[in-house]
Amino acid sequence: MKQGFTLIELVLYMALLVILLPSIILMLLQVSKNQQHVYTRAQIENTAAVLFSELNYEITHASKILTSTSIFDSDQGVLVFRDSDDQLRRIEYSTDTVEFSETTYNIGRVSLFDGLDRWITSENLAITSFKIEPARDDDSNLTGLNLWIVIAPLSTDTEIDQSNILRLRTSIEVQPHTIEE
Amino acid sequence: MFNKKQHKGSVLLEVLMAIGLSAIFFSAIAGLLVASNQSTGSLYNAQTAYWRAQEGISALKSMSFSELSATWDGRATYSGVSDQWTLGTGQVEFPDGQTRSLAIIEVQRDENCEIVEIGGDVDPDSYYLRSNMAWEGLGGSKQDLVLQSLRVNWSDPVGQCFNPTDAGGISLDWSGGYWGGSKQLRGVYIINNTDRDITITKMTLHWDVPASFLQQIFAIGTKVWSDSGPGSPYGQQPSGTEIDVLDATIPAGYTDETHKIQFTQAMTGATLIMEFEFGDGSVLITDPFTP
Repeated sequence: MKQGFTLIELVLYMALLVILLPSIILMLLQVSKNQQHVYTRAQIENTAAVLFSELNYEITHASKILTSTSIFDSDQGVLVFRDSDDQLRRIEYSTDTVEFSETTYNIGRVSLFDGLDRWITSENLAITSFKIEPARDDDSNLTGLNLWIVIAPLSTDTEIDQSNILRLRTSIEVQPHTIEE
Repeated sequence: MFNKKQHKGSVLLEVLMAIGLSAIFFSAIAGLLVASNQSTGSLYNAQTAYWRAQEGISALKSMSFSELSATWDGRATYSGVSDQWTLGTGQVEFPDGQTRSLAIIEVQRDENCEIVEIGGDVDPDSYYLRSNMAWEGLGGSKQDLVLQSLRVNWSDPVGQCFNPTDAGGISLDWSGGYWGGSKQLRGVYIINNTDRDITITKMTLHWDVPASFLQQIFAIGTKVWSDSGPGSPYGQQPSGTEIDVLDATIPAGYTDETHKIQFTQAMTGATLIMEFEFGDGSVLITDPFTP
């Protein structure tokens, strides 16, 4: 009784392997990329949600918005205000140097000064625009703040990285108890 | 001799089956990848739509209440020159294909000022602000997101529900009330808590001493009614008579003591209820009290 494979069988298997192996490898690479893509998107959305929530809370509870010292209509915006205890606070765009996967990046981040400076946005995402625009009613009262925030991955070399960039445009009301100074 | 039935190895059918199974397996994985990507993209679009819808609501809230009108729908456009949002027609189309339309909708309230869907009166001091985002989802399916918020004209209300009445701005303090010489009610205070003047136009007093009649009323240091004038009706009046007094204006923030409301008989131990009607027709009534 003959045991083992015939030559033709081996050749066939090898040919099959040659055909399938690149597809399998490509698929695994795609899974890995996809996982990174999903992770980055989730991180960007979380950052946007935290940033918006922080801004909403601070602006809603502000007693005064100091428009003369704030920087509006700039990609590197600064919002200076006083909280309900009349303490000075500042939310601003600044640059930071971070190291990621042995590469150094100079990125934009958003920080909050509430006695101490602390970053609101993560060190592995870049804020490329943090623009604040004042919105007024027909009596020129400050009634809202428009926000234009762009959040990007550290590297934007690939098409997938580009598709991860979040261009967030929204607006927050200024409450009647908040006065402009 | 080679027995054909003893021949081992794979036949072409087996190879084809193996290829077919592999294809099914890898197609399933590829399908999962595509679904995962689409799902992430879909969430991303929904999140972006939420921010944009929120911007639309805030735009309508940033405008003066007087700039809004019910049954409007259209778009809001921001001008960096005037720093203002203005209303226009049509809808906003974003570069990624999402669209936003805004609407202002009237609010109906019942007689207790509770919001009702139908059958109430249109409240001129309230609007629903609605922001509607629409976009194309997976496989061309229509997606939409609607945010709605209530806006109330707190600062300058014109309707009944949010316009403070005169009676609402007055408080009465009868805790220190006493009888002067047993016939004159004193020590009842009328406090104007508002920053505007409020006028008393009518008064009705109820008491439980039938033999005693009302003779005269002083307010803000002036006689505003007596049985021989000023005011009406003429003559001494029994309990429960509505007295049309001379308009007595209580200045903003002022506390007035009704230092002299005089009866014909001794009133010691009597229980009273006082009813005041103000310039806007609103009424304030004390609890029963015994000075």
